[in-house]
Amino acid sequence: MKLWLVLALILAGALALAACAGHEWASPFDLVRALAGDADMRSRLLLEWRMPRVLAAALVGVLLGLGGAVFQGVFRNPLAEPYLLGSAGGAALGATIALLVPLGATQSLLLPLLAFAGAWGATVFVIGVSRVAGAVDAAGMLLAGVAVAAILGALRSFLMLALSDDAVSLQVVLSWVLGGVQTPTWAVLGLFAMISIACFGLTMLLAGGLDVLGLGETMAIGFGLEVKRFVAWAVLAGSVVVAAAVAFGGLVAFVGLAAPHIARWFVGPMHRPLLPASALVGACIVTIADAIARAALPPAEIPLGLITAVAGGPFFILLLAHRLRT
Amino acid sequence: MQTSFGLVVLTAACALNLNSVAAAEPITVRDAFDRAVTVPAPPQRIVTIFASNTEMVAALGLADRIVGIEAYTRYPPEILDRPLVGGRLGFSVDAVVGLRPDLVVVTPARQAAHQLVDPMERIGIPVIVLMQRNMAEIFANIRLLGRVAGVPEQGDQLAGRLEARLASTMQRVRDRTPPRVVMITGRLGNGLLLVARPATYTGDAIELAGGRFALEGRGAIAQVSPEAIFSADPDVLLYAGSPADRDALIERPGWSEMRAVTAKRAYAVSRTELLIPGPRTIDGIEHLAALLHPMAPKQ
Amino acid sequence: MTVLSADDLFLRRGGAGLLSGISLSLGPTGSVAVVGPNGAGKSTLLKVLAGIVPPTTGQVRIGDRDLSRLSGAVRARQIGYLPQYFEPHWDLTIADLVRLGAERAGRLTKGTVEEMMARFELAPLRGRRWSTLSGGERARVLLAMVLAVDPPALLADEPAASLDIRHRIDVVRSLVRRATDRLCVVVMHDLDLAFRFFDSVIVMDRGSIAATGHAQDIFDDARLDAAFGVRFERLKMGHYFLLRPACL
Repeated sequence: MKLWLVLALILAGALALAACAGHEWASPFDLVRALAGDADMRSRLLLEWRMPRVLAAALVGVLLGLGGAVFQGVFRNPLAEPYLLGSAGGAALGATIALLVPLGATQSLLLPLLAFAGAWGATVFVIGVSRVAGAVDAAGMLLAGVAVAAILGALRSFLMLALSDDAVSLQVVLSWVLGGVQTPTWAVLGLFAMISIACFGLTMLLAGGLDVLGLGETMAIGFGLEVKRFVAWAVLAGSVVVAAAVAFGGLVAFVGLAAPHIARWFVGPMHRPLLPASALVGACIVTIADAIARAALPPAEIPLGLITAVAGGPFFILLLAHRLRT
Repeated sequence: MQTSFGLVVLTAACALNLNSVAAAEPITVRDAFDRAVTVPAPPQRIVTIFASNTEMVAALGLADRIVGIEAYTRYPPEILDRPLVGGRLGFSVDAVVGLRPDLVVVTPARQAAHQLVDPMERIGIPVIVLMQRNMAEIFANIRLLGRVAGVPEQGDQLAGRLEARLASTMQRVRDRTPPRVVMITGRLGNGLLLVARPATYTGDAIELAGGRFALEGRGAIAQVSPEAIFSADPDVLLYAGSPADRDALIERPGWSEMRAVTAKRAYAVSRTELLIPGPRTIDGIEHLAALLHPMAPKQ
Repeated sequence: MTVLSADDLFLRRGGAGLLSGISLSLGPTGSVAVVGPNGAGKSTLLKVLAGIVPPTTGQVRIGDRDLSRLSGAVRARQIGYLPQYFEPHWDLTIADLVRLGAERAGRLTKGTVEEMMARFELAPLRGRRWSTLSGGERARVLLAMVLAVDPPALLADEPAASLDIRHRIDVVRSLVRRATDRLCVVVMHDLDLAFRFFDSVIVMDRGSIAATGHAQDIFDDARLDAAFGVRFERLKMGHYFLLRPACL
């Protein structure tokens, strides 16, 4: 119980710090004034722009943490990344279409929707391909994911080359692909929060099955788990979670990998405590990384994905080295 | 309406900026995204994103109202000391709001419109999106900025002067055979070249100056291989950049045999005049017309 | 009355016949040892009987029901399966592992876990992680996990193969003890232990059943020698049955 309190307090601190951070730092007093409905331009900036952005970043972290925990559980591979199943490539393609093809609808609505559709479609496609190819095991799915990701990446590059013009430059797409949290309106943020809660509930339904699956496929079947069906559902649920994260946060690397690991140090590998802990850790990571992205190099904003990759890459290498040595 | 009229006049007077308080009623315009943008009073603190928008506002005589620019703006000299609100890595909402602007002018290039329009709308700062795909849009933008800034006469006068200069250039080259032209605007590391395309302001400038595209039909993608340019073998090769860079390019194998090179019609042209869609583009068209039609009668 | 039966099982993998025409019928109680040379199909048979691997043709029945038609949870409550090799992917604590065993049949009470921990003398280890356990401790944990639901049929695949002799005897004893009122089928590598502790023996050879019957009868059966490809010298010393391969 104390552990959860500590995690929650760390997250609260990160959120407050991130709300203050920016090109011009705000004081906690400024935040209170903005919340009280002050009409000054700066207060409106804090209320209408920075706070939704900070909360959206935290939710993106929640989803990446959940998605990472689910994928690592399904593939029983602590190096599994939510993005290996093509969902990243699919989401990026969807976002590219939203950004470059004039479809008439407002972009703030279209981009998350198409990114979501792309991520989900790509994952379903990967599962389908691996099934047709007869590779229903984890390695087969990962390989199919790599192949599909390559195809989707090429399609995206072609769209970027062919359709970019003065109105929509490559850099918009690029910045999205490099990761960056969308700043939702409060209404959209509410929707995002509900999606996140639903995703949390969905993944918690998988917790028991993931634990049994972690005993190995033979034991899991012996223990009565319908392994093939469960894996298919869990992959689908995991990609829904990742798709939601990608739709609002672009491609943010390594959080889905790192958050479950750090959470395991706190609560161990059982999924019922691991999933919420991973969500909290992910929220802390993305909130802080996003604050750095906004405040480190004013007036520019560093793409969030670059920060998490620079911090997460070495983490991944350490894990790999540790795993190869033991 | 009458009370608000008086109020706005009073506010503007308090701002000690009495030279241009012509329209004191709220003004609503439609921008390039077909958004209705309303400014309650002529803006006094303008953030202009990109050289083109900065130059247009400055050309209206409003340089002193510009409070923020982006990192690649180099002209006019008197605004170069203004705070930067963005650059290569994008644009900062924080930095823009920190300048307390009452108008932001952007163009949807790089990430500007993507990053700034939505937050400015939410925070309540008027933001105008301008596009410049041809000369007509540039003139329209100058008039629109004049109206928004409360100086519609300046806008009309400036745009009218530029239009007159353009008309006279077009008159000069009207009966001439248009040479086939390729304009190279950049070189990529992999050997590909960026070329000016039709349906852009640069392309429009080439055609208005009496040229026609040698790469017609291959205009969808801005990157082309040198081979495409060799096979098009234009009458005139334009290189947007310095003469030294042009020489470095045309001395390479293949280039020296081209019709334009042997005829000594490979010209270096000004990037600022032809790659920034603003008032100076008319200078660029005049210079271009002189290069394309050296025998045309002078005015 | 039979509790577990197989009807003409065939299993083929990539052209190779792993099981060919196996039929058997096992009663509700009793201990059964499955013996045979390497590659005879002992482990494969056990996996098919446990429903881990579906047969290519043929049917496994539990009671009068087709095993392949049962849901995983129902099957798991009827048949416990103890694998030859077990390595959890996550380094769980002993208490968590036993809880997973108890949870699977949905009959997790606070007492179940504690009871299993006490029965297999695991209480002092409850907070320890799997990676820190010795082979004997691991075998006890595995038994506690699988027996937590107390299935009427238990299929165990050489659970003691890697243990020293005392622990091996401990594990075999705890399995056979269940056989007084349960069915217990165990793949045995150690023939002496098989004939000493088990009621009946199934001899497998090249994917088929070579001989089956009471332990005493099979002990003297020449088909045993044929299956293993050696000639055994048979020594009986009271309850002890010893087989010594004679020089070839």
